[in-house]
Amino acid sequence: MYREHPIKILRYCIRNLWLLIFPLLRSSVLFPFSPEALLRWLHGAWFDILIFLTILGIAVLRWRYCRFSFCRQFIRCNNGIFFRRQICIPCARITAVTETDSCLLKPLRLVLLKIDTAAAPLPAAELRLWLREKHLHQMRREVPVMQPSSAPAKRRRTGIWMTLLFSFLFSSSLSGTIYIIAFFVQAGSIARDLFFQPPVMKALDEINNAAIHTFYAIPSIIVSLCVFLGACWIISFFVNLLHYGRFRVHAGSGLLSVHMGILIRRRTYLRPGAVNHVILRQNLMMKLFGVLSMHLSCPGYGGGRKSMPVLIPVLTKKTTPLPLSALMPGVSDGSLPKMIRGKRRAIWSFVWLPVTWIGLILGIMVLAVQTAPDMERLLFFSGVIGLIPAVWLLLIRLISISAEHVSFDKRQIQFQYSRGFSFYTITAPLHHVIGIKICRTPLTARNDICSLIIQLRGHRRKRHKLTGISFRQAEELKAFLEQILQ
Amino acid sequence: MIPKQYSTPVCAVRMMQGLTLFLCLGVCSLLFHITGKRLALIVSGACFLVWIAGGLFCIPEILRRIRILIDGSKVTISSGIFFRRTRTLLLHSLQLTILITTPFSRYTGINFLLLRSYGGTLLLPFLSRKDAESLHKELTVCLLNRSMEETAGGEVPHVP
Repeated sequence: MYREHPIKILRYCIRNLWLLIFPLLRSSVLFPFSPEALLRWLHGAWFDILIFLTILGIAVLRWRYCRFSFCRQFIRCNNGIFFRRQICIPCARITAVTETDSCLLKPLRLVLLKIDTAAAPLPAAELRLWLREKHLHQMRREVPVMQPSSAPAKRRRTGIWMTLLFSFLFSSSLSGTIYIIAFFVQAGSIARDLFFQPPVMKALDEINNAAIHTFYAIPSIIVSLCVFLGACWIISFFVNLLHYGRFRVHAGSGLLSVHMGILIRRRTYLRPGAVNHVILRQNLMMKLFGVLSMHLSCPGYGGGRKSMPVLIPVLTKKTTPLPLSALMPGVSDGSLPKMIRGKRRAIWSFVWLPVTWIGLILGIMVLAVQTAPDMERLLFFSGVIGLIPAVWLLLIRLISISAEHVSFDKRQIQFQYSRGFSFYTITAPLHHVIGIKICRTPLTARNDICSLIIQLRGHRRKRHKLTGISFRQAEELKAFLEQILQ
Repeated sequence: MIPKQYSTPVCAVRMMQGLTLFLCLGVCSLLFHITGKRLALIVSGACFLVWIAGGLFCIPEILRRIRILIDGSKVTISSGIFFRRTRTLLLHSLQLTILITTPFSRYTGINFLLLRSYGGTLLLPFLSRKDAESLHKELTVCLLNRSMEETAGGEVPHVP
């Protein structure tokens, strides 16, 4: 049995830092400050030392009690002081192993290892170990999923221009720079921590003042908002660049590994049989220029909010995608025969949301201008900013009428649809379909159309909703699936 | 795998009764310390009644009615007094097992086994140390066996 790197003691110390609240409360005797108060405080210093020793002692004990071992068949880990946990993960059940190699940890010869199975709760990994490098090398020799395949692996490298393009496209869902949804949905979580640093705030204030003077015709609040969102987008862009920079994929028989990151290098080894489905993702700009991004659903890979499960960041017409059979055994790359398309008569099912959105904004604008004519300029710009995503969504929905389809044969299913501001093309083996539902409203029932909800096996229960499908065809698909899956 | 049935050991029932009594006494002493004697007496009386009802009748009954049945293909756990709840986990969807033990669990019977599978976790509570360890080992061997069958095939390793 091996122990983790001793630096893990610091990590355990952080968990019990809340105990420092007691010395902090005790230091309240220092107010108002006087020599007597200081003497009194020093007199009780043993209490602070005791708390510190408790924090350190618990951390050291936890570290001593955490041990792990590995062989070709399984990885074992025992941890915990009071509640002793014994975990035994069979290597054949491992879906993903991620090695995180930070430039800060390099001098300590330390690597963070995350081991996941299909049963791992999100976003936590099944097992997180802080390993010494020598143990990692031993593990690479033993654990099959981390071993290079004997067959020559196909290696795909993503160039700097493609990484830049990917970072640009995925730094906001609108492929623009100015809107709040992009900020809160995608860039927000990354940017939030960085944004509230004092130098950043100061610089933004200066840019903000300059912008207000330059765009004097636009209300200052709108300019401030745009500057704020623009800055967040830039931060998000650079974070994405650092995260997905030096992107490489190795694919061979029984091997699939993804390497990425500039400052923090991540190497993820995936078991090809564990891939649930492959997702080709596009936003409107990508759709117009015929560019795709290939993602995959695999337990333990890209499950967090800050990272996407990218397999190939940018796919153009010139680049050939990885063969699907290498990712999901039994799935072929050829086109599928049976096809169900979205119906043109179901146009309202597609566009009702953006049309209502536009109508509401226009209505509110007219009402607000009549009630408060002094704020006309501000209301006008606010309305325009509100209309931009609505029109964008309307365009996406209009395109998805012709793009939406379902194809299937006896082994696999493929469907394309739009959700939010993105288009998705999903390919999955047929036995990964765990649910199919047909939804109808009185209006759609009259037009003989329905919504088809497909649920696939995955670590997140995501529903894929295809609107405007012919009811008869949906029923046929459902019957076919029931027949095949029985 | 030979079908086996497991139930809560008596020591775990006694331990839980002792713990609830300890908790009641703690609450009462705290009340005596903080509030007036009259109020503390009333609340202590109520606590004691609750403990008689819960600790002497409900807890033993709840724990005694937990039944765990394991056969070659599935694990079934049924629990509850009035409303019986039965949950089944098919062994082919099992991914890994986690054994949780506490100090002196040989005498307290507070051992748990977590069965992690696709889409959920099944908790097997209050097993005796011997049962928990043997079950953990047996299920792990079963998992490894299946993994070996799925991959190249070969001898099942010894699990320490």
